[in-house]
Amino acid sequence: MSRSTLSQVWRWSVMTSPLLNALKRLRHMGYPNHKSDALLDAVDLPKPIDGLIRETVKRSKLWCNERLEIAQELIAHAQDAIEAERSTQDIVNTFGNPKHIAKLMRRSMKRKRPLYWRTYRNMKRATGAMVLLLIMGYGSLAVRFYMGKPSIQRNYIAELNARNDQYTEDQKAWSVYQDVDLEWQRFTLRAWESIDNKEFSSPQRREQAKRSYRSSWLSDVQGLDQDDPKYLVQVELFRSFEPELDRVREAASREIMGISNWMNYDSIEIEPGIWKLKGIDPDERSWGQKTLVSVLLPDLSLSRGHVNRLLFDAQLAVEDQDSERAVLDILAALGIGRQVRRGREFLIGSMVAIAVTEQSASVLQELIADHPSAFTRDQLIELSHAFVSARDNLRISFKGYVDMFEDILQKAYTDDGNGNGRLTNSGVKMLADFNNQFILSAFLKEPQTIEDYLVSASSPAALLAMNDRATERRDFLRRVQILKRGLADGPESIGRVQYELDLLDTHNEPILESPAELFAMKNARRVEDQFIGEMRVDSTLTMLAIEIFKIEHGEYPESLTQLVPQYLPTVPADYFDPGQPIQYKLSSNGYLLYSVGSDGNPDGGLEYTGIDYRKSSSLMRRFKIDTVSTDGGQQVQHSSEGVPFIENDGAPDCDWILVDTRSESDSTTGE
Amino acid sequence: MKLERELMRGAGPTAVLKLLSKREMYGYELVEALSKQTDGVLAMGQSTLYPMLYNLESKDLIEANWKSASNGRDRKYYSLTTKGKKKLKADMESWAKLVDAMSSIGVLKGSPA
Repeated sequence: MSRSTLSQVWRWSVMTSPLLNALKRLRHMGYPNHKSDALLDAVDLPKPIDGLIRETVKRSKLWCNERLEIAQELIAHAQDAIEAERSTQDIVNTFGNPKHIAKLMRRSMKRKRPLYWRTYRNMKRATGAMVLLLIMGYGSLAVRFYMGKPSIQRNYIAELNARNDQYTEDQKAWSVYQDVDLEWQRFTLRAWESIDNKEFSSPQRREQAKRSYRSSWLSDVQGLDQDDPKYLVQVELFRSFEPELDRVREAASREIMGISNWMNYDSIEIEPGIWKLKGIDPDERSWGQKTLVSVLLPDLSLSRGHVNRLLFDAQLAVEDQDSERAVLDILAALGIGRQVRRGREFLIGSMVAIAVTEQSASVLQELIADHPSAFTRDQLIELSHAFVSARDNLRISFKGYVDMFEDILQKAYTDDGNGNGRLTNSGVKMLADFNNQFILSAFLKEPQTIEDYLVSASSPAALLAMNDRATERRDFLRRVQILKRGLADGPESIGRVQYELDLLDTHNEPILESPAELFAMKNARRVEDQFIGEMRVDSTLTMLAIEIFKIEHGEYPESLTQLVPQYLPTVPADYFDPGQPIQYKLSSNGYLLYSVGSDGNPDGGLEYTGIDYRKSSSLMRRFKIDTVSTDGGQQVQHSSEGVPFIENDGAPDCDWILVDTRSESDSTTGE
Repeated sequence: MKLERELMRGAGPTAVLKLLSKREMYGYELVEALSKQTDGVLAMGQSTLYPMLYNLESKDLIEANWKSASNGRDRKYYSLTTKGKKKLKADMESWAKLVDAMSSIGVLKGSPA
């Protein structure tokens, strides 16, 4: 390779080096006229002409090389004119306006630029137009969004409170329950102080132990062996609470719970260690909590506490051979269940009512099983009547649930007068509050940082992402209808209910869940709760009938049909065995009432001994609709008659024992 | 007399193409030729000519080359491309039809009124 070739390669590599080119570009950006100015400096043109060319080149705002090309062209033109002996003035006069000529030059020079540049320019323009369109579109969306205001037609909370106002104070139980709760707190404090002789490593530890002791006093005592001296001491202490239980028994017979509906409650320490709930005015809270769904329900937990104490007292009463007190305790527990259900007709109230009623039934069953002759015939009849009435406690009410949803809709959406509307700014904030996600907290505060403003500015996008009011209501009510129909159609429909609910489930996990996604029920378990509660009450009524029969006839009936119609209108149905009654098995020292259970097969009263007690009493397992996966999702398997196949979903091979009065040695256990 | 702007916009490029079809020319030469040969009717200044030349160049109708003239100075000479020749031919036919049409309705002098 010759020296000159090496030199050329070296020059080429220097000229094309990225660093050099970058420096050149920077220089061109900072001083784009330097080449053309140097050229004009090199030629000796009359000053006016020189000035016109410089101005034209400068105003052209073209790339550096393009400016040079224009300068060369105009210089050559001027030199030709000078050579043709035209005067400077004439040349200046025919030159034209530099601004105008620069504009025309720029336009035509750009047309000469390479394809990649023109493509890039067109893409930039298209992107710009698109961005502009998006901004305009989003702007109009934002205007529409921020202009939308909810139209609140009903004050559901006032309506609830007005319902209370129809009753006199002595028809309301809440104030008594609250007072007795304060007394219970004093009681547990006394109980703590009576045993408090332990050393604690710190005052905080002592407080923790104290709180734990007080909150679990009753369950801890119930867990003790009845021969344990501690048990006897604590029970004696509990008997001092008897006057307060009397007050609860009286209050449980009142018409309604009668608690005012507040957005929130504060616990106020009225004396050391004794806390009283005080309602907070809704207006003091943020607007996000001013919906029916935010009404707190402290009466539910207080009621459960009273029921637990009443039913414990019923056990003590039977041990004391004071069956009259035991009856009163059970009647009071059922009365609290009635008050809880009728209160606001919220779904959670229905669930608590079912739980309280089932708990009362279970305790009574145990008492009768353990003390067969504890109750007189009249008492058993009185309890029968009470449990017949308590069947009402089990009926799930959807009224409060639907009202709660309607309240959210009216506060989150506009109202077009035809049942439809769009999400509002306050609605987005409300949903963010309900979604309770940290990422969405920026929606809830006044924006301060750039990030806050960005999050806030994204709110109008909710109009595109979220359903309108009518769609939300339709989605929600559709689920409610499925549940109601399931209740009306009976236990066998529960598989279909769950299947239909599953079909409506989109399985989406959006950042901001819509009201229907947030609050619509997706599980048929609540419907099952009513049916299971009914079976529990029916079995209790059957047990009571058997016991009355025993008192009247001196022996247990051979079969349940002997109880009809004098003791029972009909033998209760086994919901797990369509068309069949619950099973009765009499033995030498007691009897058994049972259902065939989740597997649908009678197993002779074989009891489930697994940990998950629901397995033997799950209608969801018993009547699960058989589906197969297809390309289009889940497909129901049908018989040739078009009836959906039912499958047992992992049900244990045993029965569901409802009542067992037999002694331990005679019990049959399985699994 | 000078043509109105719109007329100039239509006639100018064809005139330039026609001049360049005879030989390659530089900018000043074209200005002079247009002025003299058309008796000033198609006279145009730099502000019109050079943008027009750049447009024709961007459409590949003409091409430009810098050459040294006899006096030693560099000049940019414009010449017709093959595409330019075809365009000129088509433009001339269009103009001929236009003139005929204008004559037929008596727009041109000496044509039947």
